[in-house]
Amino acid sequence: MRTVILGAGTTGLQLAKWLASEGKDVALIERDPDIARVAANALDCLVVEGDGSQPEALERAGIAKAQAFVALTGSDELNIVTCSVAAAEQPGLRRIARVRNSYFTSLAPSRRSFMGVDRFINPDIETARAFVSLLSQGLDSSIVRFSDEDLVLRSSRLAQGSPFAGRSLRESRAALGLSFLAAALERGRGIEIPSGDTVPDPGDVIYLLGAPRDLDELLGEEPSALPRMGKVVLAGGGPVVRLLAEGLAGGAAAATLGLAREAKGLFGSTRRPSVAVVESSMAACKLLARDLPGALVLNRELSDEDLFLEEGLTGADLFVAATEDQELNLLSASRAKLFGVERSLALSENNAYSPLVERLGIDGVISVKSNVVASIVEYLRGGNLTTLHSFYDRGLKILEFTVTEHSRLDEVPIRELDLPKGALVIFINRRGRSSLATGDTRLVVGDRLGIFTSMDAIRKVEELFLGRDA
Amino acid sequence: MKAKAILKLLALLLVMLSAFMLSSAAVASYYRESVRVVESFVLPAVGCILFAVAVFALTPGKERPYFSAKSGYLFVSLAWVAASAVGALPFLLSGTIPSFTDAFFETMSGFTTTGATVFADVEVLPRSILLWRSTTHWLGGMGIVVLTVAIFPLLGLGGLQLVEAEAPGPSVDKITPHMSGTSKRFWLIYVMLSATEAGLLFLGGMGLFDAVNHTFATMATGGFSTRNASVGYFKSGYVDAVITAFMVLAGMNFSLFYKVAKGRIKEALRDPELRVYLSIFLGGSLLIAFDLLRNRVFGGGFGTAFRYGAFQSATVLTTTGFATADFDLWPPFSRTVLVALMFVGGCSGSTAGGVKVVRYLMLLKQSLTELKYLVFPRGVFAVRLGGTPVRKMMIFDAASFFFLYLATAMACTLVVSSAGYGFETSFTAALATLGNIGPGLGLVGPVRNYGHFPAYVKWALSFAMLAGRLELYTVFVLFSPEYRRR
Repeated sequence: MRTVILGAGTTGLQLAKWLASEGKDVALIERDPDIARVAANALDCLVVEGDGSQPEALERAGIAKAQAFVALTGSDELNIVTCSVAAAEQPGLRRIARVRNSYFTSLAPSRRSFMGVDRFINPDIETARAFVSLLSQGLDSSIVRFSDEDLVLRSSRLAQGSPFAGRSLRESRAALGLSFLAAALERGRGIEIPSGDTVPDPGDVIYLLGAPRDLDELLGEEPSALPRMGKVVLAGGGPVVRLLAEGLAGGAAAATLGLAREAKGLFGSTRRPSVAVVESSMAACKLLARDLPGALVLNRELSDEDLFLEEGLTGADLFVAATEDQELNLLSASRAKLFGVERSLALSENNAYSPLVERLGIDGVISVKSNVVASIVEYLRGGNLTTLHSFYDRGLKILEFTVTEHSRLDEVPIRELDLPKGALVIFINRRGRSSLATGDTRLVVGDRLGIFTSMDAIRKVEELFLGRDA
Repeated sequence: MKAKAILKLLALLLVMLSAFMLSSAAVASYYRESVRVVESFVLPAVGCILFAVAVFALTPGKERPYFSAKSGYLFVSLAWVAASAVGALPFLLSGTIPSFTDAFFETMSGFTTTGATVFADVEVLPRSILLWRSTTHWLGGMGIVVLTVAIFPLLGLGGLQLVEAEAPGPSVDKITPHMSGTSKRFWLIYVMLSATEAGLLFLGGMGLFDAVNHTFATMATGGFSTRNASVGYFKSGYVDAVITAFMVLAGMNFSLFYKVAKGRIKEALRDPELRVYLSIFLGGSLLIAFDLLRNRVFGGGFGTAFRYGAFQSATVLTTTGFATADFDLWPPFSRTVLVALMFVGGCSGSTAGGVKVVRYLMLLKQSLTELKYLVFPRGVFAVRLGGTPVRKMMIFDAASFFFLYLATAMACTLVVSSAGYGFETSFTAALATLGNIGPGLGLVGPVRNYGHFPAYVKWALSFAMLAGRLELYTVFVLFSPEYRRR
């Protein structure tokens, strides 16, 4: 499967790198010769120097063989036009355009069909969505909750004297008499999918899936979900803040962000939180006050010494720093914690500061670029294989696959699936009830499988389940 | 050039006025009134037509006159003064009002839909004169100028600036792309509501002549009646209810009727100004009803008290000025509620006068916003009306309008009291004329009249009526130094 990417900016490069790492065939088109040369040296893919809106460049990138086209230049209009050109060259192509103008994303499919774009990726909406999904996960990376509450995935670093340390998993299971599944073991710098014979050592991180009650017994009380969100402080006046403020207040953006569905879990009740927005530009403040009737808009510098005390922001339940300045975001998110803010998140352009997150005491960082890349990858994968959860920093994913009549998997026991190394079916959801997967479970049409996988194994998992060759 | 254009428009206006004068003349001959009465309409009408012919003969040129806002203000003010001066002639020529001052006051009161009268006894007047009085209301109601804008585009004369200067209230929603289209639709709504009211009154047993006259006075929120006891003469709960309802309707923004006609009923009902307006009406009615009940002013129970309370609240709030009772004799609390209502006025885009509900609403919201600024000095807040943010300019405009309104009311109070009148009479006379209401309290109460004032007071109050009708700025701008600057 070939993917043609237009524009070798940060996002284009990251996407190309990601797809290449999944073992896919990538062609990158870039107009600027210098940037094209740098990209060609850095990446294991075809780089074409040329203007993407011209059919010749598309031809040279092998558009005829491609299944997907992703337009990532800085211009909304150029991205859309190029998608149309590509559609004319290769009608069966899946076409994705990155656009910043929310007008395009808001268009009904029938009204945008003439543009030849299958999907618009709006970085602001994707980012705001990522914040929401981070929030609904409870902001604690050691626990993953699924939409049904039968099972939960938890990770824990094994201490000296842990019941798991020093004996094989099979022995532990027999000794403990509880049902659980060890999905992964993080040891040293690597991740492995354990078998019954694997013997974890103290210091390893074990990923366990099981019923919440059983895991509580094994690993101690589950850390509480997000405390009730009564007071939220957002910093910045950009589109991400607008979306979050509007969504949290229950406005039109709530549906876009999936907040309408999540709200109950997020707020512990149907009551909406009080939202304050801090923005340094007066002009932007006026627009915010005009557009966000429910929010308190404060015209202040985020770096003001007395900001938190003077405006009564101390002790807020959530602080999200989403200005255009990523250093300011990280530092003020860290500072917010000093003023008793319960959870504090920051927006960053790229992943440069991700390693600092833990040191700064921040609860989470969303990187715009990697987030856009993740959304595109997700869409390119398509079909009935979707991402349930990503462990951003650990190269792990939980995918979900729905068995259909076409999957030719009916009555096949999980043992015979021929999963690649690094991938494991961890649970099966049948008729709304989730249970731990065992090798003997036979698949039935309509089953939803939870697949725990490392990045290296993703391509093979896709091949296996989607029956598509690369 | 501009003078010529203004003159031409005035001439056309007077021709239109003469058409209505001729219809009053027809009524006079139908009722076999004296030749003098018929002539008092025919002569000014002929004079107007001759004037127009002369103007068009002497100022050739077919080019579309360009109208700036500046000349628009001048034309609107002149139109009202000219119409009142010419409209006063029938009173003068028929001998029903001997002095020009009184005749001008009465006509200005008619065209500004005030309803303040110099007559102590209207029942002795010829019917054609009564009809002419009501006609001045009806014409003035939607604004002679809106009428001219609706008709004159056919003659190739534009007039967006005119409507900006004249249209009642600060927010006339443009319901069609062309102003002339908008005013045609407003007129249509106005005519249809008038026909409905006249029909309902006629069905309720009121004679056709009384029904038409009272309809003219209701829809224009004017207040001239054909009876000395005003609407109270009919002693009918049905008539009171119909007129109360149509007074309240006439005080609403006419663009809401258009929305209702287009099926956008929910949108119309969500209008914040309408909600506040109706709440004020209901609140005033209830307060007065309870006060009347407590003081046993009327026999009967709450229903009777509410009937009189609602009618008087509506008549004062919508600046109409009818009466079903001598509210000057009511207990102090009821009278105070009515004075409070005198300050309010109807909705923007209606035929009512006064400060207008939307201005109060904006000022109230702004005051509440100031409270927020005290708590969050660095906060940024938007003032909204019905979810839509209001531009700062609009609030400044409302605030300065309110100041100007109070200042003018105070100045008029001083003028009236300089003639030896007490505070109650002076103050309510000023409010009742500036707000285009009509009757006030004391010596200008609902069973009294303005005839006893000396001439200079009548001129001052005539000016107050004009200024109030034209939203103050239109008139006051003519006296500003900037206006005279080239």
